[in-house]
Amino acid sequence: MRRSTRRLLASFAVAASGLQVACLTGKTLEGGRLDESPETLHEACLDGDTLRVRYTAVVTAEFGEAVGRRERGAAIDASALAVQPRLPVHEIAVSPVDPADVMRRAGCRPVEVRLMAGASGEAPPEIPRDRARIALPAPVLHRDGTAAWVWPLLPVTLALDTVVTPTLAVLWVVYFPMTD
Amino acid sequence: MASPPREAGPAFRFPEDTFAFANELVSDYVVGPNGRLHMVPREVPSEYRQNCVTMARAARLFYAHARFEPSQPRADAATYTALVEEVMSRDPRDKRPVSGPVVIPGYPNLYAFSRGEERLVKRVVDDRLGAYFQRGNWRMILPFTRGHQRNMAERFLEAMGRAEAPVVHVVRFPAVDINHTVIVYGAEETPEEILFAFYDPNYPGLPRRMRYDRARRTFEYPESDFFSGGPVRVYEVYDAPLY
Repeated sequence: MRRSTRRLLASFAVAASGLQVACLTGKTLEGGRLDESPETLHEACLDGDTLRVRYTAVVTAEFGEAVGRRERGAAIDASALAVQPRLPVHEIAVSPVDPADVMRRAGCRPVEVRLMAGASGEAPPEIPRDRARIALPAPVLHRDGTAAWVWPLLPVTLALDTVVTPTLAVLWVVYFPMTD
Repeated sequence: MASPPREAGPAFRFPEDTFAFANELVSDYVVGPNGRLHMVPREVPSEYRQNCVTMARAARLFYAHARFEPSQPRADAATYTALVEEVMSRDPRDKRPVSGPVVIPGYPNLYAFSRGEERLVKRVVDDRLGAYFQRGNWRMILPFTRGHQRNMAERFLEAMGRAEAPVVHVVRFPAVDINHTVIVYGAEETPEEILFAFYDPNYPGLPRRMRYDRARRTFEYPESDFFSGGPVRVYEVYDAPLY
């Protein structure tokens, strides 16, 4: 077999293996998406420019069905919360914290935090200069997840993708010239 | 960050740059015992249906390739037919500005033209098979990551800055409760979300908005006659050779 042919076949194999995570496997992962949103804020403290919060998050499947609740902790860049006009929520730095450790940090001053739902049309928060009361948009605490039922299925979907994907690739080559 | 605007002419105007007639539904929809919508046969069969892709494509073609001249006298049916056919024969992937736009006399915009010449426009634009042969259909069988959807939202924002009108395929494949095509023409940003204004061929003259949730990186399609509203996946079509 010529070297160029081997390279071509190797390229095809690499491309096909890349696509394997695409169809069934990818759609399975997509179907198992979970979203976590804060439901109840229990306590919060301010450590310099870092807001530390402990809260209960509700876990929902994509269409909003609640599938569980989790205790969570987070450390948030409080200076970003005070920026006006407000920053987009995904630009506010948040890192997970063990919920048991949220209030244990020495020098962390307890503060009152108001959780804003972040729905359309909600008035922008007023951030007091003394930061005695902080408005925290709930979407800042959003986390992504994947349902546990997905993982046992992956060997099966990967095996099926190995068979299906080359067929789809051939069909796609046929389909392409017929399309608009 | 949005790209600097280029000389592309006025932005897509609603409803002026859209059709005055509707793409009708094949079936009626009723709420079933599980709270979901179910198809039931229509009492009166729809006359103009399964054309959302075709109408979005055509509206985009008119936006890019046609220029309306209301000061010129109206033409006869044969002339209008030839002009619409000329517009429809152009490349839907072309963006403004294009050379040699098709001049349509006697009407100020597509909305008025498609109301005044409804039967003619419907006949020329009609292509129910067009939906099945839209090149970008392959994309729906692949997964859509949250990152992909965030990129789409950013792309739409950039397109608005260039006065473009992205044609957008809205799906939930492998679920088939929505498989629709619209044109995005505006955006309103808040820290939590982006509300994209879009032209829905099913609702002529009715401005609609689709929500992009920045935290979830997910688009949410509004309630419609055929869809109860909720998360969807979106991607742009007629924007590149593979789409």
